[in-house]
Amino acid sequence: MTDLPVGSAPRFPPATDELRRAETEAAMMKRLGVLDEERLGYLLALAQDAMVRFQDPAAQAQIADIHDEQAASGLIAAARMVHDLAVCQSTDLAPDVRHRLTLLSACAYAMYGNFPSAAATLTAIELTRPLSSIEAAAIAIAAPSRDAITPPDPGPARNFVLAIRQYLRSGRQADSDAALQGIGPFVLSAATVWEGVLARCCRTIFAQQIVLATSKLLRANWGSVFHGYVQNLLSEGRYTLLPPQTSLIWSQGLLESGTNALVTLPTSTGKTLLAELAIARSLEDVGSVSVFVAPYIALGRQVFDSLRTRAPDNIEVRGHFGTFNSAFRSIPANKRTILVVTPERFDGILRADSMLLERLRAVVFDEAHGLENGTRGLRLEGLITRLKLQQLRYPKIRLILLSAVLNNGEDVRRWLDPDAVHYDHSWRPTARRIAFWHKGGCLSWRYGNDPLRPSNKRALDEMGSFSLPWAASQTPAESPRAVEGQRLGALRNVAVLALHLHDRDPSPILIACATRASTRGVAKAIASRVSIRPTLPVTVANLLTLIEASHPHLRPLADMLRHGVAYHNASLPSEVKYGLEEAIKARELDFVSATTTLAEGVDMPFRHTIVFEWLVGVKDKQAPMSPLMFRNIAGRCGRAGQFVEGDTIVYDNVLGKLTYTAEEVRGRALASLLSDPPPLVSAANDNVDQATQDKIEAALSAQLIASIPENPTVDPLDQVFANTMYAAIRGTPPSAMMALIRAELLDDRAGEPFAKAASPMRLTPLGLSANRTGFGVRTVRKMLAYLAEVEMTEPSKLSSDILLRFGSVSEQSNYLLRDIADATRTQFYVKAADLEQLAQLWLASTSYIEIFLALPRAIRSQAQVTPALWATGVEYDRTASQYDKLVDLLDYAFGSYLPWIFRAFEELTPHVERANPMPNWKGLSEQYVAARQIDEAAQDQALGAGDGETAD
Amino acid sequence: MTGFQATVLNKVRCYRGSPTCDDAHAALLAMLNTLRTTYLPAGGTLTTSQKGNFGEFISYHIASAAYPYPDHVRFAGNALNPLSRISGAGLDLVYLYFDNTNPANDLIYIQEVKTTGAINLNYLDELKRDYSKLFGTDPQFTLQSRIQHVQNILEFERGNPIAARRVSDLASTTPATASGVRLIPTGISSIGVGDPLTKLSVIRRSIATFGWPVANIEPWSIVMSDLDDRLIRLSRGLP
Repeated sequence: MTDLPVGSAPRFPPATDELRRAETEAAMMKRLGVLDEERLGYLLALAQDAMVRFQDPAAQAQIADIHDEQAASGLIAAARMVHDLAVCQSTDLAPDVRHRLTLLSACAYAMYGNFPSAAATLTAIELTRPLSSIEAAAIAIAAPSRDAITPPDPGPARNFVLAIRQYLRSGRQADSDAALQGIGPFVLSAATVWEGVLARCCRTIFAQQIVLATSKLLRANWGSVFHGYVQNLLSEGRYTLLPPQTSLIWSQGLLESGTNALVTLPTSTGKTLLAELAIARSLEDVGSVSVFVAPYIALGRQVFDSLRTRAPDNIEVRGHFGTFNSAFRSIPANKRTILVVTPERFDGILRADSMLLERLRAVVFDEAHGLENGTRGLRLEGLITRLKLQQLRYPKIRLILLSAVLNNGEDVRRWLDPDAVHYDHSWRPTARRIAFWHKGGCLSWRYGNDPLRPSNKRALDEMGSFSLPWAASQTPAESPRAVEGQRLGALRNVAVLALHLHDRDPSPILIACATRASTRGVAKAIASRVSIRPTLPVTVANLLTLIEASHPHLRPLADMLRHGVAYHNASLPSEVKYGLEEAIKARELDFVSATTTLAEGVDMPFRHTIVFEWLVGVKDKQAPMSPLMFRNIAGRCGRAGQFVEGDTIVYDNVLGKLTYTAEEVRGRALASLLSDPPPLVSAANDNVDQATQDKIEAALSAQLIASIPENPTVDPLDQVFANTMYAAIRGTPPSAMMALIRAELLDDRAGEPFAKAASPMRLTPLGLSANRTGFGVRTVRKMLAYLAEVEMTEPSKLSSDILLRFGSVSEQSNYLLRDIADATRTQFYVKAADLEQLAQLWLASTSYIEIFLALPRAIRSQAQVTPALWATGVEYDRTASQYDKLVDLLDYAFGSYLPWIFRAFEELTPHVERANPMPNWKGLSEQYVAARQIDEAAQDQALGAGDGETAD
Repeated sequence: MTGFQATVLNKVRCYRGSPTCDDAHAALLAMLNTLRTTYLPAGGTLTTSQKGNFGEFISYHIASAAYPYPDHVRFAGNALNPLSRISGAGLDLVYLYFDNTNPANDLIYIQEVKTTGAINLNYLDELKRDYSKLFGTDPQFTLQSRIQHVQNILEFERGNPIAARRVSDLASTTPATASGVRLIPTGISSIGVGDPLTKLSVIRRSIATFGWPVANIEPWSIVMSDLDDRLIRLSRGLP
């Protein structure tokens, strides 16, 4: 029969519109609760038809082609549709049919290399049920990290699985060839049609594994550190890479190349692992140092933990997190070292260890788009600029910028250098669904940028909708009174939505809020509609004990926890926050409302995200969250490996600035959330108000000072620096501002200058000290003046004076402290006169609650619920908001800012002439740091990277 | 010689022993001997699934003549081992026709068989359910799954990946568009019980309501005298 005419050869055309529409139908079926039993068979037939095209023997040789999302779109549709069928509400589907559909869906995911989704799907399979050898083999092959599953009986299925495992551990072609020999007997061992189907899928899955195997990295000659790192990765059960990772490594040469790189991949596609691999690859030389720069401490901690686990024993992994600090234990020259740092700490380290630059190899900047974020962004841009300049002297430095979203990647690539490579891939592991719950009750899902959007549909077009009436009608309003009057109604509404979603799919839900007050309000509204759980899970039970024993003001939270509901924000004590995070990870909570601390931070297993407040900022600064922030928040749900999809539902909140919430404009404002982020621009933009201009100048001043000793031969450095900044690529280089800063550095009218124009510039001893402070020229001058006159006094009095004196400088980033220092009239309990008492209590390690209750305004309060009563667990939002602000202020002012100032004073003291002894600044700094362990979220907050500001 | 002869009435192919049921019985017994069947001992009884397997065996025996080599490729399912106590789920009887000139004319025949020695033909109604599963929700029974299993056999057992690929082109996503698929709902019953011809005509129309082109449904009725008794004797290797 071999001489028969040949049928069509396998190709991977994009999914047909019929298939795309069917996928939409399946996706909407469970969301809308509309089930057409007659259509289920058709959907399965379409899905299986799509799968067959990827099972052809000739397809195996082209398997890497389907790492392109559109080429794989048929399989993506199939996997999703079969999964939707497996979990649909049909009463006709017997458990064993659902079992088969689940397994088939997992196979479809694995067939296009989406092993995380295959694994997530297979969590629904009950491993206690009897499995045939081929079913067990299919599970083992589709989820290779589940080593526990192996066909128990000797035979082709067991042999095939063991042969694949051998290859996944070795990466040797001989082992993959041996496994390939086992396919025939394996397929022919299928005793039923169903087993035959699975066996056929497994062949394609194995073809993917041959391409995606992590162990292939062992065959590359990329040094012993890299080899050891990969071995440890395999020991964790990371047997396969994701398609974008494989593509970037093997096709695009990310690890082969030493050129600067921009890596843009969607959320959950393994950017961090790629960066870790690049770092491991870079540490060939003894004494070399590579760096991972993380914008948030929580993220940095994750990377630190992961690198420490995976790096070979002879590599030292150090974590340096928090605000600017140039104190640094030098790195032994005979060691290879990885630093995981925040930008602020990295800045300090570079200033402290001038020998580090020549030892630097890979320097990875995570979330590089952060360079557009105010003064933090300027520090980031300054750091990258400084390293770019150093690459002329030390060509082994490699800059790698990571970002999920960049609209103008080419600009960033050109900035890095003309030979830099932009590594890009659009593949996504999980389906991201977007919906709006409109005023009037229409819950409407939109296509967004889903790869399966039919050709005639646009991103904002509706996939499906149904009516879920709001519990309370709402009218657009912006005045505090009108907003407050409708707030309870809004909370009731969002509770209705959360409960509805949970009814449809009982998986954890995150409700993203703009303020801490909202987190409490939302959680309370939901908890009041959910029954108390008859038994409490372990972590939750421990939390209740903790709250009762140590934090009675959190009794309302304890009550919510009994209902499976919680809120999470930066005001919570660290131990409670960590407990909540553990409970979330263990899926012990059904509903969690949180500020962006959690919403933008680390990975948590949420299936849905509800955006309760889409306007962020307070008063005049209120505006829709940026598309980038929206994507980050949307990325919190449906994490790869946990779920196969994540839904983000935007509650059509009408409360807030009418410029955005009025009926005639709200639709457009909401739609802006889904738009592409605007091109990345530098924060060094001179089209801003004077206060912002001063902050920019201070930040650039600090960066220029740092670059002087790093560039002893570059002249005129200020202009070279300006022209090397990203601002020069996208916008205008801040040449005039840098010239002004240069003039200030050279200015000797106020005493010793910071630098001398010796062609090129050289830092004076004062300049060298100023460099180690991290402050700009003007603030350092102000510090010198203060140090000349400061009198010895009690630490608390001294601290209060310093906070008031330096609370308004450009480097200070907390609005509460600024208001106090500027004597701005506010409702905040804390006034300038209270700072001394706060300092005393801070140094005495007094609890936040006790500090709060000791505030004069708290004692005098005539509030409906006094702070004293509130502290016993009686709810009252106004008091809680005051407490939130106090915690913010304390953590920032005493935990971060004051120690930074003290360290700066210590550096500058030798340059001050005075007869009287100087306070022990170093000792004071250490005292304030030692008084309390600030948690990561609070530190992120101090960096300006975390929780949103609390509204008045 | 199969020992059976067909007449076609109302689009139903009616098979009965030729010239008598004993001749058909003898032909079937000869076939079982050729297959080196291990018969049941004296006094042994048939299980329900063995009875079903026997129905498939009889149908396959007839189909060997109706769909002969080399134009057709046949898949016997459990038919060649009717006394097996295991009935492999799903495949049943499948016959392929590969057109020598144009793959667009390729065909796949799917034969579902129900065997009843009862005093009525109600059991034959199960044929409708069997065919509804071809486009149902259980991947164990769908047309696509059956075709994939056939592909496995063609590719791995018979070493013919080209044929395997051509078979996949016969799959479809709806009955209406499955132009290369032919259904052979088959009822095996005792002579004199009910009106199998009418029964299978009704079944044919019922299956057509699923969306299948009625012309692509070609029912068979196979009747034998004292069917249950004959099956017992055949299972013991007795004439």
